[in-house]
Amino acid sequence: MAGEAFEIALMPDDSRLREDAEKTTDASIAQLIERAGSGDAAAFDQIMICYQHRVVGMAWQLLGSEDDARDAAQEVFLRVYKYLKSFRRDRSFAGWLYKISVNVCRDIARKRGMGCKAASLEGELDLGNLDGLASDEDIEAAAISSQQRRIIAHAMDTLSAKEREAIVLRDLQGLSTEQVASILGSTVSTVRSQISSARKKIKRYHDRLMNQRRVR
Amino acid sequence: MDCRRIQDLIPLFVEDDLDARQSSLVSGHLKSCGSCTVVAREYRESQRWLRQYVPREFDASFFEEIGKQVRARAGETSAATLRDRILSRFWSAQLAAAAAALLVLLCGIAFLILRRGAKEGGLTSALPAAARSAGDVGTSTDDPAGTAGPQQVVQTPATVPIQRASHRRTHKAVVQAQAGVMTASDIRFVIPASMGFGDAETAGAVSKEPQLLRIYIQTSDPNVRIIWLVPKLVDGD
Repeated sequence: MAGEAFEIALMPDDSRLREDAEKTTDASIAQLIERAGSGDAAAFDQIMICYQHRVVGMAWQLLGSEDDARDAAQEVFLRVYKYLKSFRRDRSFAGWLYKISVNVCRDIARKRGMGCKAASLEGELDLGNLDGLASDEDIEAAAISSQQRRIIAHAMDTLSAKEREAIVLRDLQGLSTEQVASILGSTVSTVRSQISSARKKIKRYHDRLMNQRRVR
Repeated sequence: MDCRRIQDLIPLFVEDDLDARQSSLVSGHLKSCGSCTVVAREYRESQRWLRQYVPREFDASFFEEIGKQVRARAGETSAATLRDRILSRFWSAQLAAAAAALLVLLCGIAFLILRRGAKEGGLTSALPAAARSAGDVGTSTDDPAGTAGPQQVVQTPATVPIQRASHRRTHKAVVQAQAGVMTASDIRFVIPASMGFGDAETAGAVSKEPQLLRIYIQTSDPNVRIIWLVPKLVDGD
């Protein structure tokens, strides 16, 4: 049975598999998709390893919470597993994955009643992470970056859900405006308008922050 | 182009989101406008600042947890899919069996209805032939040779129209007559009053002749009349 084979093949601590996946090139992604689509669990695991950082990162940027990002990533890969057979090979897999990720994040945001806004960034500065750092400088740097993330998260909260999605995909994930429009199921001009508006809001927030710092 | 229009375009200009024509317009304007250049620089700074919005480095256990959950749920999904497939097969077999049973039942009902209809509608026309085959049909009502059983006067025996017997008691009389087991008492019982002994009675159907009674039975088929010659019962027999 496919499910059993899946469990046997996907050993969580299989570091060799992880290394292999990191070496995976774009060309071989197509092969992996083909194999995974025909039930090869190891191939699916490689796909998951290849894209998990990207999916978790984007989910975190959209939802603003580590727990939500983890839930979203699980759901995204589960949907990929379920619908990989129906994925059209002539299309971009990354685009398809982003589309699923955005939809999953929307669902989670809707469930939590936060409309794709950062729930909270508390817990970002958890002591467990700081304990693992080597020196006082590292701790200080981690604290500063954590503080910085919190501030930007507040700035992101000033955006509408659409603006947030557009700017996360365009500026933080580095996709083109056309790709963003395709993922969001929108037009390029609409996406440009959303991105422009979002950048203006972010700049306004940033300017205010800088002014406050200068005053202090 | 004025500064206000340029400053509307700067958010897109700083990230190369403008087309070539607009981009060159903004670029040309910035060369000659200090305030718009400051705005463009501020946008670049805020964009740099925004790009610091990245999650902290997640450790391996975080991703292992994701993988574990996905594997577990994918296994459930596979099992559920298999179960659904089996169930759907089972249900389709059940459904097919039920449909077949229903079809048989409907066929049976239809057959019974048709058979009953055929009996009710077809007996009157079948009667002469049946009676003839039994050798009980006389061509003359006056023929005393037919004393052993019922006799019929078939007015148009070749083309007897099929008529449905509308009256159940008539039908019963016909059936009994066909079977040749009808008795005088039976006749009295089964013949409707409207048909009764008809003209036989008015003409003295219970004939005054010493040996035989002549009984006329008009069936639902107007073309078929049964004449029954019965030995007269004498009081005290």
